[in-house]
Amino acid sequence: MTASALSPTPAPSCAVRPPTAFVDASTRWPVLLMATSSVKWLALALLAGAVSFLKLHATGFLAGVPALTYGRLVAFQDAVFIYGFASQAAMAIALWLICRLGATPLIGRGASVIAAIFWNIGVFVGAIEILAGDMSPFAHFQFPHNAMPILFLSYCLYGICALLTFAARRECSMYPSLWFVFAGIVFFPWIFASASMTLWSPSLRGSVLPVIAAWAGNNIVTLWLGSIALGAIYYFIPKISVKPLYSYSLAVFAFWLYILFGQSTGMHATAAFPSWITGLSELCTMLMILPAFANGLNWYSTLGSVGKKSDDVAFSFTWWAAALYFVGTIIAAIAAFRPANLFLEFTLFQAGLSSIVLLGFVTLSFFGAFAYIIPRVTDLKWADSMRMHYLLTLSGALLVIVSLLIAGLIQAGKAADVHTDYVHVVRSGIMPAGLAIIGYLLMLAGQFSWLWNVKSAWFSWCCPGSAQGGRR
Amino acid sequence: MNIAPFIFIWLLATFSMSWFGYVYRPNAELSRQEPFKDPITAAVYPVGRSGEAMQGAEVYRAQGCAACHTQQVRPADEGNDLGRGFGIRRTVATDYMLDCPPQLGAIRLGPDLANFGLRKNTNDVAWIYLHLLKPKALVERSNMPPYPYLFEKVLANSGHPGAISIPSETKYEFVPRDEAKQLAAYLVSLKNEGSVFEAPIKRPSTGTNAPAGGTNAPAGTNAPVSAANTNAQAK
Repeated sequence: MTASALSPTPAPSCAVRPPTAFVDASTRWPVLLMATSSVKWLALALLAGAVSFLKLHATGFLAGVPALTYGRLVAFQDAVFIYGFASQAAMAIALWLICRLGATPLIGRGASVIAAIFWNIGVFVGAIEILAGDMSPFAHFQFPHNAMPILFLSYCLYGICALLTFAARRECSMYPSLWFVFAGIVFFPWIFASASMTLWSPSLRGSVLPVIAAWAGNNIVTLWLGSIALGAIYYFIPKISVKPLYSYSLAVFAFWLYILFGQSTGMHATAAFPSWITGLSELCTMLMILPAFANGLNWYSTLGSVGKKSDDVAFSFTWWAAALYFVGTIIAAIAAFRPANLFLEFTLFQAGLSSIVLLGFVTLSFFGAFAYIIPRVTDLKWADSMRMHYLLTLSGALLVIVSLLIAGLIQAGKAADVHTDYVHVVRSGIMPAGLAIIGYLLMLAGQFSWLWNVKSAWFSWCCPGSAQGGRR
Repeated sequence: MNIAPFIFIWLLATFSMSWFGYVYRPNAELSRQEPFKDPITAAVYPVGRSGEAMQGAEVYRAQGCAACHTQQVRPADEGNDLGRGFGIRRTVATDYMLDCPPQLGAIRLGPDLANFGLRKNTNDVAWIYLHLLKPKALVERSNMPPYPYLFEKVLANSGHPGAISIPSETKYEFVPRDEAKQLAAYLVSLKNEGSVFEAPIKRPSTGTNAPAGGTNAPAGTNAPVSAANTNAQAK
């Protein structure tokens, strides 16, 4: 039941493979541009997160600045995180994985760079407009309608490059990572276009929009970001631990279950939807345990005695991402059970669940991928140890997740008593959620550390002997 | 064998299910939805908002109020929203049919506002202004941020009509800008009081053998219920 990490099936190569270094180098500029831009956007999103939570405690803080009112900061944080950081990082990682696993150099390097530039322009336009007050109330789709075409066309350009490269791959067999990456690349434009064409349409009834927004918002996270994150985990766990993947078939089984159930999750914590939607969403969220167990078993069996002994930062990030994916899926499944759902809906617990996925699973897996990919595509080694980035990012993410989950539980407990004044209900959750401020700031410091490392490595490459980094 | 085309086709087929169920079908069915006309009273529900209230919805959206306030009330057997006075029945899709976009929210860091207009009416705009200007003046432990930029600061006793004062400020008064007036108009327009098929409102028994159809009477016939909730503070 074992197979090689890179050759899961005995399919022969379609053609002579180019050197790996050549393949990696072909992705250098688009991957480096997307990665560094994404981390800068992440830093902004984390800063917005810290300030927004601070405003819940010090309500008068920056109250006279309309751009920095709580509602706009929350929307800014969410949208910039999803499109500025996570989607852009996903695009970079997907591009590299397609080239590496397909054993083919990138097709359309210049076009990919142009796509990345315009993607950042789209994020910038959307972010500025949110701060100016032009935003939608839908989670993960707060950008105003005029930012969406820029993002969509940028993605189309990127997607063409990615799919052409995918089609030209010289490794005929498809490793499980490529399944997930392929699915993410195909699903994103579908979800994004469906949302863009409906959520801002004045001709649609308001009764339709929240359902579409909930479907699209869930799938942007689950089927786009989640697929790429799973693809990265499936690649890096066997790769870094130098062990073959335990089971190719189990990975494919988990893949189809993840796609099948994942598309209908995350729509149950609402009171205004038809009951079939909330019921189906609760069921599918609970059934997501099946692919989680299949994935978990595969990774656990792959690692075997290696466990978590590796000091490699990429491996440590990936290990935690896998662990938080598994734990998060179980917590989400328990929270989807109807009595628990009714107890927890509308509380900060929902923000905690979202944080497990976005800050835990997605962010940590992407940073694990970056830690491995960036030195290889740039042919540079990190100037300093990335341990500081790892510790700050991980501790910050865990602090945000745990504080929001606890805050939500406290809030739900207070809200259950109808005689408890609602101000008291809210404040009971806000106090523990204050720890999230420290979490966001720790993560922010981690991103500065990452950017400093990249800058130092690049500088030392340009000026040999001036720093610790340099060519690998 | 290259299995990518098969994966692609299966991905499309699988994802089409949810796209059809959540995007295409609701769009095809509900986009033609029209306000409900009660066959007995001829009252229409939902009624559109006034121009000022619609502008207020834009102010509500621009401030991101939905980040803290939901506009969705749970049924009686699912939570205690009705017990807290958040509404007189559960929220259904018909309630926000005419809102574009509807601002349901997902997390409550403040009370639900789906029926704010049943708790406060146009006579309470001074209360709303003060709450926007300095929430802690009305609710000591409130965590709502103040919105001073929705008001123009003027010297006290300068004769500005509609100026409001806050207890801790003696030198200045605050004149609501258009945005504050529009937001107040929107807030008092928030009321889900139509009795609809999915969520009928039970009227108090009149002691007569009134037909069952009477229980589905919309806004105008619900005076006893609405009045009981008017000006009631959400718990």
